[in-house]
Amino acid sequence: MLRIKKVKNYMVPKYPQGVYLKKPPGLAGRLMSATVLTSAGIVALQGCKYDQTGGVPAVQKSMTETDARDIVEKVFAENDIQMTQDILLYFSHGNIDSAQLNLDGFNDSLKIGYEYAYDGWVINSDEEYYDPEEEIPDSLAFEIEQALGNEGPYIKLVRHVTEDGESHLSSLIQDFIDQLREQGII
Amino acid sequence: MITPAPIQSAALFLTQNCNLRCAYCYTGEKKNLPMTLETAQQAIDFLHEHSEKQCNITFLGGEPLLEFKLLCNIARYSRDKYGRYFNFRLSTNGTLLTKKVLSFFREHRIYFALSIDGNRKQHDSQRKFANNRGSYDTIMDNLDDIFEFNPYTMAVSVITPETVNHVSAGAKSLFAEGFRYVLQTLDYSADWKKEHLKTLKEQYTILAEYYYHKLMDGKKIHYGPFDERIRTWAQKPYQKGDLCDIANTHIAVAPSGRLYPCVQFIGEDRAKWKDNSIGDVFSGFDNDRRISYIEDNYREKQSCKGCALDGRCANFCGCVNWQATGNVDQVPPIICEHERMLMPIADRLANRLWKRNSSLFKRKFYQKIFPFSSYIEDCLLADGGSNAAD
Repeated sequence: MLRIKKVKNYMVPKYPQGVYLKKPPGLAGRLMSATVLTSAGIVALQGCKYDQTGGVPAVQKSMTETDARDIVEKVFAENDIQMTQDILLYFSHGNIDSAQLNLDGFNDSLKIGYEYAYDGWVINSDEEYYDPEEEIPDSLAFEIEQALGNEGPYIKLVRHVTEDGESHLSSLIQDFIDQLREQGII
Repeated sequence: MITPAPIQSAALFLTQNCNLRCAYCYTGEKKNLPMTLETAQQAIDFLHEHSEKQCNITFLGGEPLLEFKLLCNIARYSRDKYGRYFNFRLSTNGTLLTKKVLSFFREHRIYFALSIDGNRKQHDSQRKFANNRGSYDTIMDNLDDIFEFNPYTMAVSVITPETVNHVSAGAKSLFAEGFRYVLQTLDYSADWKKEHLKTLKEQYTILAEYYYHKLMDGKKIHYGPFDERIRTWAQKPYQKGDLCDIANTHIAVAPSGRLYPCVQFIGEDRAKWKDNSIGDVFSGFDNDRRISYIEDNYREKQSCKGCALDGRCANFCGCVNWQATGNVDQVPPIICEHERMLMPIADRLANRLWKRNSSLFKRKFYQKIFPFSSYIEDCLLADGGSNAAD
């Protein structure tokens, strides 16, 4: 006869729970110097072993997602493009519910959106660290932007920026909008 | 008292009618009383009014493609009036998929999950046409067109006590046919015995070995029973309402326009089932009844309190509980027995993949953007041959 039986101790899983790369010691708040992180930059930093006292070169604090999104939204608004935040965009990838990208911003009528993505840098409220499994290679980032662009939606993947990267980020978004204008999409 | 949240998803039950007579079907008599267009339009307006930003609609039945014209009219009505506010999907038995149907789906970005129970023997023993002929070959005839439309089409299978010894062969057969996503779920309302579960354990163990080698070879296969359980450890355990939020962020609309907590509750949508209704699209929600279902579903399961698997097991699903026990908050023993058997198999599989440093395993379970980046890789970057299961 089948019955309900509580499991008191369960020690089977030996694989990590949550994010599997631990925060590198001393790294919090002291990241890279490049305005936009590149794969080469990642390699260079990895070589430094993330050692705070060992001479990580001229690192700068990274911009929070909230700040980055505010800047992006501001540029879109200045171009009279209003974004609805946190919109699920669905792709057909088997599991009927998992094939989706939670876009940070999307304008439904223009089919324009953006997503703030990490290039391997995981930023939680209390820690930052590099996780190579989070890295999006440049080639893939390019394809992500292009893939949906042919018939829309047109997605700008905004990649990791440093705390003082406001002007860079603004021009990145403005370039994206200008490009869409040139192509007659908006 | 709980305040209901905006609706995020709804099942639109287009018809009771079906061209198949599946052994485990829970929808009762196959009456040809489809939803009218007026009711459907009212349902769309109602869902728009009670949701915010977006709403996902799944067409169900019966076989929803028996009402393809109605489905088209609903999609057009919705697009004309609300733009891309609604995302449409459906669950189909695959016997009525034609190029015309797929063309419409392509135009309107409507994706579907295909109900198919593994190999021919397993499938045809359960999923027959009204004339008792098996439906496997009819689906297979459409398979090339289905994969051309969407190479990620998910296969959804039901495991019953009668088919339990075909589980591994069935799943492998589906992967070999080209499916990349296979979801096998139990018919929880069936008469399960210990010996069935012993057989199922053997079957899952065989599949774990298969899954291990596929992932180590970099083949992107997705097997629901393992993936869902590994995800609850590698990412986060289920929270209330995560997957089953009946009567709250998810509801079902019957052909009559009556609202139900979930599609399982519709049954034959007539007087004897009416007790499950939580209102209708014309006069609105019966809020007391709606809240009562939400509270039942959110209530802590006393039988599971203190269990180390709580948060990872399928005891959260109010509609499965209701289907098997008649109560939303009462977990049937088959769920507990099944989870206690399956969870260690899934976790040991994950342990091995982690220990052997499987890159695909890490990306799949620890990379937030994986479904999306994988899609791009498969469609645009890969040589086309590296992602097939076999």
